[in-house]
Amino acid sequence: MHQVKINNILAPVDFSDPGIRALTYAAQMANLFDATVLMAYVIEPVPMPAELSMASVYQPDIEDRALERLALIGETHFADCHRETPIILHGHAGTELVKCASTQAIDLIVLGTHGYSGIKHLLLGSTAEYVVRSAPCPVLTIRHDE
Amino acid sequence: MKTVEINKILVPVDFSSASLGALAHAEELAHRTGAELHLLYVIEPVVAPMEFNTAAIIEANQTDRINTKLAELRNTEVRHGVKAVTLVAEGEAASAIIRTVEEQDFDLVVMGTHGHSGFRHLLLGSRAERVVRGASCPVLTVGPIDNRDK
Repeated sequence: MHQVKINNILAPVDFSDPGIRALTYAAQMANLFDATVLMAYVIEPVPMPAELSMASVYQPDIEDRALERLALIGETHFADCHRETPIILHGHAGTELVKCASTQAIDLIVLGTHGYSGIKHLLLGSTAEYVVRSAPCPVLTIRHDE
Repeated sequence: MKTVEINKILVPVDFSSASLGALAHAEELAHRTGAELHLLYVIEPVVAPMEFNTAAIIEANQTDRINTKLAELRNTEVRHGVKAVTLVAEGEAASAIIRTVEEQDFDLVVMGTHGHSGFRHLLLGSRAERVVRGASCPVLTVGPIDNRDK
């Protein structure tokens, strides 16, 4: 029989409701398999008009604040789990998460998503869809209904 | 800390390597959570010319054969101590899976994803993606075994 090993779990965090709900599942999986949790936050590039070149000013601040919030989430959601130091990724969320799963030898990604369909689905569910389709490992998707 | 209840796990199988990878994960989860494992096979309607009125007979045989194969799968892939039952549903696969989840109150679906073939995927979306989008419970998608064991 095929051996199932889950040692490393990637828990993407975007500070949204669906994302937070998914963390409960990530913690449960970590406890069931005695696995290590890696939290990741992706900063996606925001297109800005050239004259408002605030990006360079705000970027370090965003990163620091994200790390603070990730640390807090770690304490509240993964208090009794093995944890890696959370990481910040830059770029397209789906692409970066899939890349991260490969480089960090991730065995499971636990992802929250919106339950939208139709046009909203196209706009908002795209990260989850991309990750489900492209991940090198199993993906647990937790849908959040509004 | 909050926890989630996983008491009933649905694993759709079609006897492909992708579904066996999913079954292995579902079985392991059932083993660790104590959840009940339900192996589901969906018989999809085949469009047949009207003059072949043997459809009913073929179908009866098919259901028997599938039940036998499901029982074999349970015996070989599910260890003792894990409670497992087999189910057969009819209809278009993704809809049948989504319906089963709702009607029987599942906590988790574990299913395989097949290799995607360009156009078809873009136009219709894969079954797994449709289940992820439509199921009322979390879905664990597992790629084919040979894709992951690098």
